[in-house]
Amino acid sequence: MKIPFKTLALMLITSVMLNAQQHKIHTESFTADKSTTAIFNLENITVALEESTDGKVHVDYIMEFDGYSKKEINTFLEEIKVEVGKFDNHITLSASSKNKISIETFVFNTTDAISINQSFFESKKDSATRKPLDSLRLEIEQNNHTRQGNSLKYINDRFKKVDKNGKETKFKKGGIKIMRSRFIIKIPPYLKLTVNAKESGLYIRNNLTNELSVTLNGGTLKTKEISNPYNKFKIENATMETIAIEGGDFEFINVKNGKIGSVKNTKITSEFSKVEIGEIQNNTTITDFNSEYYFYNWAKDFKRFNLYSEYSKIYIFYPDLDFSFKAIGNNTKNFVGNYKIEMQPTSKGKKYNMMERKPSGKGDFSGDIFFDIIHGIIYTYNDSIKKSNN
Amino acid sequence: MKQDIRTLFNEEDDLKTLPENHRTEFLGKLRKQPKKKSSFSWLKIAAVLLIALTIGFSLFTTQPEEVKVSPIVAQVEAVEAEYLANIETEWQSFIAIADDAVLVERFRKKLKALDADYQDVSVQFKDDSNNILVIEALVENLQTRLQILKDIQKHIKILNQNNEHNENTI
Repeated sequence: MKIPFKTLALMLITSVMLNAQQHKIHTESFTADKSTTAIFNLENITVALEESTDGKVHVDYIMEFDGYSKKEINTFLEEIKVEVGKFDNHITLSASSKNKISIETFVFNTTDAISINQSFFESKKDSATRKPLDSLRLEIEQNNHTRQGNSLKYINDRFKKVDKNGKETKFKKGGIKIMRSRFIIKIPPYLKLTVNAKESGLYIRNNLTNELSVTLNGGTLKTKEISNPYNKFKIENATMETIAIEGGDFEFINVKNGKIGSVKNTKITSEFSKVEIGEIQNNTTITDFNSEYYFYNWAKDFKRFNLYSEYSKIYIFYPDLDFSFKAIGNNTKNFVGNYKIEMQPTSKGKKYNMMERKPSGKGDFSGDIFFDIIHGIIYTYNDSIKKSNN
Repeated sequence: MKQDIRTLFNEEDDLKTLPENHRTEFLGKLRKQPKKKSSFSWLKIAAVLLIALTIGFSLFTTQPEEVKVSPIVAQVEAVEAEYLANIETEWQSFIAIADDAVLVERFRKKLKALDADYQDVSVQFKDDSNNILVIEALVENLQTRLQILKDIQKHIKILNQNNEHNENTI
């Protein structure tokens, strides 16, 4: 029985190797010290950033192809360009691809028609349930899984195959070709890094304290904790999920399904975005136009939170501990349960003291919430508030 | 046999004396001579004909073939047309209810920026039409444009609604 078993195992291994072909694109290492800087220019590429433990910068890029012919692979590889160099203690990495590459990229292997499930792409209904911090963090961690657990489900949720008679069927294995990208750059904690990325994925897989300046237009940003007072992020037309941000300036333009576990000592400027925040910690300020924010929880000592907004929709779950709340502005509606409160109907520009809740004086005081809001809609939960009469 | 070669030159000088009517005789003979037809002219005609035939044939054979659009491209184009029609309808509906010129202008700029992004992805789609990431990017862009227009109208309607339960204290 042993020989047939070995033969079978060998056949299985061989067939897997034949199906998925690995190709090394680039491998290189650089020494770095505390004055080393780096810039990464990415286009249509997905990169994972990890912390280096030996003080060096390591670049390691491997692609894996499943269901591709040799000719297709060669053509594909020719269109990936990676250039890395170090000059005057500055590392420059440029990586681009003609084709869009994610950690796992699916390509239809069919000449049949497809149908697009448009309802899948529609935004989901507003949630009105408070998410505990741990729950949101878990959600972010799960979404950060590098690969789809079930690639066929991923495809079939969004698309269907249509045969010549117009009948819709599900995609099966063989109907899809898969590319997997493993592009890992390890950086030491003191490296000052700039990333300019277009239609790319940036996955930060360790907690980083590096000074980061990141511009991402199109694609995905997923991070663990990123903390540095000089961080600067500009995220546009992208999905963003981060376990925690501490310090720095963040700009969100059309950020889809934004999820932030916790935020601390940070300034956020945003427009046309949807962002959930698990916990607001010390000294956070948000300036927004026409976004949707969910403030689920508050730290025990968040000190002060400022929101300046126009045409924003805010879902706020009040702190468990004692707090103060003041809202100035105009033309804003507040929904509390089944009640709707017109906080100040005028929209002529003058701002009024619309709503105020003074600390109750019971128990520990957690902080002051301040809203300067016009043309806004606020949904509040689990609290009692008092409208001021101006 | 010895000879003084200088005398030879003298004799030759005598021989070179031309008759008086030599020029007119020569011209007459020249005119009477039959004209030779150039064989190159036929070659030229043949070459022109050959080139004309070649060009004509190649033009005839390279008539634009019926361009086959892949079913995936056709489907994406159909979805695009449907979305763009809906976006236009929502835009008209939005500008009809919005009384804030700054807001309208901001949305106009946003939609223009999203359209520019869409054109970039469309170029990529031409080369990589089977890539699901590219198709998703196209649909998400269209969906975003439609959604922001729907959302802002809903927002304005809520702001414009009369209070049904105006409470001072809850």
